[in-house]
Amino acid sequence: MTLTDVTKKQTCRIRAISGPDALRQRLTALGVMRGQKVRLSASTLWGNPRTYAIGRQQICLRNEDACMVEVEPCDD
Amino acid sequence: MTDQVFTIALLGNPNCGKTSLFNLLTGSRQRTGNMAGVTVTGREGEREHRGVTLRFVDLPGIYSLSHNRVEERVARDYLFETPPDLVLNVLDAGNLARNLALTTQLLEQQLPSLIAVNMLDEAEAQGITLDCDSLAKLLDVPVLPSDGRKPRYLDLLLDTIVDHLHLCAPAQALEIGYEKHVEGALTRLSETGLKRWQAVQALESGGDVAFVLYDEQQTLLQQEIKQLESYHDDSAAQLIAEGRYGFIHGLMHNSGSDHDEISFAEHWLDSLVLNRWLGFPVFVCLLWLMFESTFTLGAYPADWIDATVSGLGQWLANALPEGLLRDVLVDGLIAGVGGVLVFLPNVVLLFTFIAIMEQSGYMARAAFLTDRLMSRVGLHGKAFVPLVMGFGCNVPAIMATRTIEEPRARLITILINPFMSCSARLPVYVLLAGIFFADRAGTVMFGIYMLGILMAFTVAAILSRTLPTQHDESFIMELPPWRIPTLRSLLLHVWDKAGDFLSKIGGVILVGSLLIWLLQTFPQNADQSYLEQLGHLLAPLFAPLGLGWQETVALLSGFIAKEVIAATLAVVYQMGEHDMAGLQAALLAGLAPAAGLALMVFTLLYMPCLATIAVIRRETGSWRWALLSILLGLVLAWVGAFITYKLGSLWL
Ligand SMILES: Nc1nc2c(ncn2[C@@H]2O[C@H](COP(=O)(O)OP(=O)(O)OP(=O)(O)O)[C@@H](O)[C@H]2O)c(=O)[nH]1
Ligand SMILES: [Mg+2]
Repeated sequence: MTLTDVTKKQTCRIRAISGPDALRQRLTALGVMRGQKVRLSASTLWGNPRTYAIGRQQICLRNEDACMVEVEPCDD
Repeated sequence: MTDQVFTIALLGNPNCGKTSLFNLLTGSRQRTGNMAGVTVTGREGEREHRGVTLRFVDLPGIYSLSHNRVEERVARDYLFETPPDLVLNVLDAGNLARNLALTTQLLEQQLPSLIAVNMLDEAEAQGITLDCDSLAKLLDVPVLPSDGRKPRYLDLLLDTIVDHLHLCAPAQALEIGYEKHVEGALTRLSETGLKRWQAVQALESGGDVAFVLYDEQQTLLQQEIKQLESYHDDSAAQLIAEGRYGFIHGLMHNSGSDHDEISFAEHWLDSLVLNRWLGFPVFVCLLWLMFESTFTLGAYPADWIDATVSGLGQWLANALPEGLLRDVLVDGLIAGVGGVLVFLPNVVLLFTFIAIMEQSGYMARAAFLTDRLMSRVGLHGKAFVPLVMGFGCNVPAIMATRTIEEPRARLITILINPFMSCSARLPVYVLLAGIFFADRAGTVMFGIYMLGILMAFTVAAILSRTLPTQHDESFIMELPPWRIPTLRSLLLHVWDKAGDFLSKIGGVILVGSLLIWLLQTFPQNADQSYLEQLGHLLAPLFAPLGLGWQETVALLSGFIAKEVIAATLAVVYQMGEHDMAGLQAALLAGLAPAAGLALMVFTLLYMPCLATIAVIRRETGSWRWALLSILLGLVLAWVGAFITYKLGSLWL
């Protein structure tokens, strides 16, 4: 599953980030990395873009970019 | 006087409070705001402390030294081209791990640094503990608490800076142990003569660095990057970042700082403002409320100013003997300057609302809410911020487009910015809406602003389909935490804006009013004054819009600065009357309501003022775009006003 499938109730963990270099570089710079926990925090009327709570920050991503981030459900 | 001058650069992640700290340190008043990318160019300021002169340089926020977006390049190039004596690395205590990632780059590069941990008040409120002393010991650089909003830690910070500057022992370069394949690549790159930090940055940035890489180094680098990708699924940049964060987590653990990486607590405001169904309606309501209260609340102080000004006019009219001097003072100066001065409260209110939006963190959220709409016209949510700033003044707003990386998106944002109605046009709307639509003036103004936005979007849609596209910029943006704006920062900001407005009144509006008065009064004893002749010359162009020669000259005078339009109307209509009521009555008699609306639409859309044209020319680098902007504005304004007048005549 990818970041776009994450819901508000479910906490997930990032498994891998793919996509173009520029995107990976930008996400890395923001501290979005493998192993981090994420959750959906807000969505707009159109369902795109969305905001995710990642680490200590809230980050807005368009679905085109968010689908490059692979996640897995994590329980705790 | 001191003979020692040191340069200190403030560096840190976006929105960590660098400019706030800079303002405290130097007593300047640079723009701050609760969102990333407020500062777009370097600014300098000085301060004397214990006999040395400290020259502080405020830089745009950056996430990493090895990235090359426009605003990150400003800071990176500054460090390389004019190495400062000391880097004051500002950290956000609320997000320490990510902020420390930049710090590790600085220390790897052995830049003389000093760390100021900002936003401690917020971290404390969140229950984050932090031990500056043990962090300092582990990193081997001074780590000090700081506060961007209050001067409580300032003396300690300044003392330590001066002490540290006198102490010229260079610190040890920080060495982080990376993953073993990365280490292998680093060793091989070092053998070509690169320093370790240079090799790290080259790998991290894919070769786009501020120092020179020889061809063979470049080739080896690309080879190493490919190889790392093939060993792991991650890029070199990701592997290095993992190394950094591993080091940072160890550091935070050992210094007893909290490194619980997650905080999912949702702010109650976000559950309203970013609610999937309510978010957008709330946004539109807020905008409406902003214009409504700009009009209604502004009316009270405007009345007091009006009373004072007209009292002064009366007094002068009675005290002075009849003659040219009395006329120039009463009908030229007081009518013109007073005619604009009454709108000061409205302008101040509008700026207050924009400032609250910027300082609280709502602006970034609005950018998020509007991203989808913006993407339809080839822009993205970030373009929203310069557009709203355009409600204040188009000049800084156009400068703020520098945060938009993609050249086409930036160009479009620049070109549509003049359609965002700046505060200089506000007096015309307040005046006309108050006369012709007294009961729903706020709503009419909201409508005018919406029309401007609609035009901006239409033009953007057309431009984005005609201009050649380059790579698509992804919309990745950090939402700042909500912050309650301090009264002090709001007052300072608004005071500055009021000052700008007043100095314009004392300058261009004063001169403009006098000029209009001169043209209106001379030649004496003739059928038509120069002004009337000029107006009649061009009036045929404006007649289809329902406008007379008076409005024609008013619009002409607005080329210089839009505030002058109101001043001119006041001077040409106010002969013999000394207060707003008189002007309103005169306008009501002279113009049809539909023509009033057409005049508002024309004022909204027609060409940018001189200052805006100059900044468009500068930021786009060519007169071509400035010219296009003028033509586009004139054509749209005429057509828009024509349609408004025709439709308005049917309905009103
Ligand atoms: N609570 C709290 N807020 C602060 C502190 N310092 C700054 N702020 C607020 O944080 C926000 C960002 O401040 P700026 O000074 O504009 O940040 P910056 O680092 O210059 O941001 P960029 O120029 O965009 O990189 C503003 O709303 C400030 O009022 C602090 O110590 N505590
Ligand atoms: Mg700043």
